[in-house]
Amino acid sequence: MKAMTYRGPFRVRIEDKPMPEILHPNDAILRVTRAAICGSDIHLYHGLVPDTRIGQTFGHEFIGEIVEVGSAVDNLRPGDKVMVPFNVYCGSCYFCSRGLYSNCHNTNPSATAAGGAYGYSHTTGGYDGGQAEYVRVPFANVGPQKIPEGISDEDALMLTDACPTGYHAAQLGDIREGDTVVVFGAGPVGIYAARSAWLMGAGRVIVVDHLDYRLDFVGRWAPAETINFTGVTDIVVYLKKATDYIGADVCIDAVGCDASGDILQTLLGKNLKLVSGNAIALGWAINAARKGGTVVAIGVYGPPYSLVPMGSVMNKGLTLRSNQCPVNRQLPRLFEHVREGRLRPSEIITHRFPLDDVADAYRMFTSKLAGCIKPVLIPDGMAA
Amino acid sequence: MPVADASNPTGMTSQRDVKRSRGEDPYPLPCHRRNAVPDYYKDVDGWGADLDPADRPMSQRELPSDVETVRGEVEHRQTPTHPVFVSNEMPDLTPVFGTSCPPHGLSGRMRRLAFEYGEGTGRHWVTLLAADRVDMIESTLGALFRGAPDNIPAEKGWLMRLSGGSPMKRRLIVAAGAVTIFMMRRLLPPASPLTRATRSLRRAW
Repeated sequence: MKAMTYRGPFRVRIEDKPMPEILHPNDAILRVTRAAICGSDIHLYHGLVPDTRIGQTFGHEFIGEIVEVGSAVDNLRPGDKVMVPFNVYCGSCYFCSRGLYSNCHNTNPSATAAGGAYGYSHTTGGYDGGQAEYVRVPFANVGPQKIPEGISDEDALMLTDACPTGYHAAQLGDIREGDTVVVFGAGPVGIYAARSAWLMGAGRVIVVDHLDYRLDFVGRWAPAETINFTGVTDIVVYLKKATDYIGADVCIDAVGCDASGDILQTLLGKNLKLVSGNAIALGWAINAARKGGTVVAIGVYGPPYSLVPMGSVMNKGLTLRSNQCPVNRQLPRLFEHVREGRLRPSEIITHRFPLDDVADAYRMFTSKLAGCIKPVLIPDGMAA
Repeated sequence: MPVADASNPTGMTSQRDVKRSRGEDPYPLPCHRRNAVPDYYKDVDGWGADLDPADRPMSQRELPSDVETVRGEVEHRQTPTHPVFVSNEMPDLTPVFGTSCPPHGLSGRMRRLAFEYGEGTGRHWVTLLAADRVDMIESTLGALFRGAPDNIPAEKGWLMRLSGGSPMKRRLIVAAGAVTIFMMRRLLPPASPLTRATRSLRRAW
């Protein structure tokens, strides 16, 4: 089968790989109909995530059709059209039984610091991902959901990771009526977080980024006030002015370790890899939050360490909340929002590529070319 | 130090004085836009649908459970067919694991070494990152010596970068490429070992 494979930092290509097999009675094999490239795939693409091995297939956002199931899978059968949350989880360990599906202890032998995830290096379990024609889906009895009535395929694709993550970020902020929410990063997760902040009752939503075309989109779609931080000498001071010198009630860092905006962090993190990427967006979120406010770190950071102003967290009495999103806990409510028209997740998709053009898709996404916000990959024969 | 007062909030007296100190931007700036936000926040479409925390899926951070062991109920275990490195913070191999890219070569040995250190140590992660780079070199050289060298420009999407970027960037990239090729042809003697070694590579491209 054709599958995207990683060849080194900034290098990917399509290769012929063996078909995935049932290796456990709870496995299923899925034929992928749509796969998306996530902003966190770009961290892998840049070589920022440890234990990213040559030859691995990325892709944790995908939907498709079941073609084979293991002996212990009784809720799905071949032919079912399903959406697959990015979490690989068992549903029965200490953490899954408490609803922390993104922190499963039974699916990632390489690290307790992360749960299992598709196509996200061996640091999250070493599973091949869905940017391929077929993919192995472990614990198919708990993870994949049949795509319900009233949800289009592309909406379902966005509901496997990006949309629930943004929605989860807004919930972590514990937003109350009238709160001022500042979202750092106008990528897909930041766009969904800005929209979700209004659903939670925010009084003001501000999105900060350096790309005008993304700020234009979120300004229209969420909607939101937008600030291009390249036009400001000090974004934290500016945000304090914009909030009567109090600071924001909730700051959401939806950027992660691939941030731009600080030379020292870029040198140490992104170039020399001595720390985990560039954490300047989290630093801005901490400094721009009001005393007693909440900071949500939903952007992805890898090991080992990040340069973060913890002194400010302590002295300002901030609440710092974070986690990978347990997708299946969000879906019932998100399906309601989509059916009622409050959320239209597929509207952020800007580009669709054949799977064969995966190298071009990654280049376009990472270099922010041609107004790209969210690219989707379509395997051969799945264009309809 | 500029002096600010009510009539002159930034304290700047003339355009020449506007070597702005950090943070002395006037408010609001042109790069700060209101966009489609309505005047009254409750007029935003869908506002407050999850205002009641009880409607939010994560209103309970953790659900009640009586599972007290880290693995919980494990009915079946996947059988490993190649080395799987297990964190020393785990009691044993997980019941299910990924099978992508078994460890091999020098990079595999480095990964094995990395797993002798805990996840809380920098040595663990930095060794893994170093192994990733060694893996890339092993893979690229291996492909070269097998006579099927990697098409690195295609893998990096350079054509997309050329066609999708700004016109000035495209001109700069083309100019840099032309200068590089010119200098290589001038500096490399015709029969040098490097020229011979790269002949097959250049033919493949």
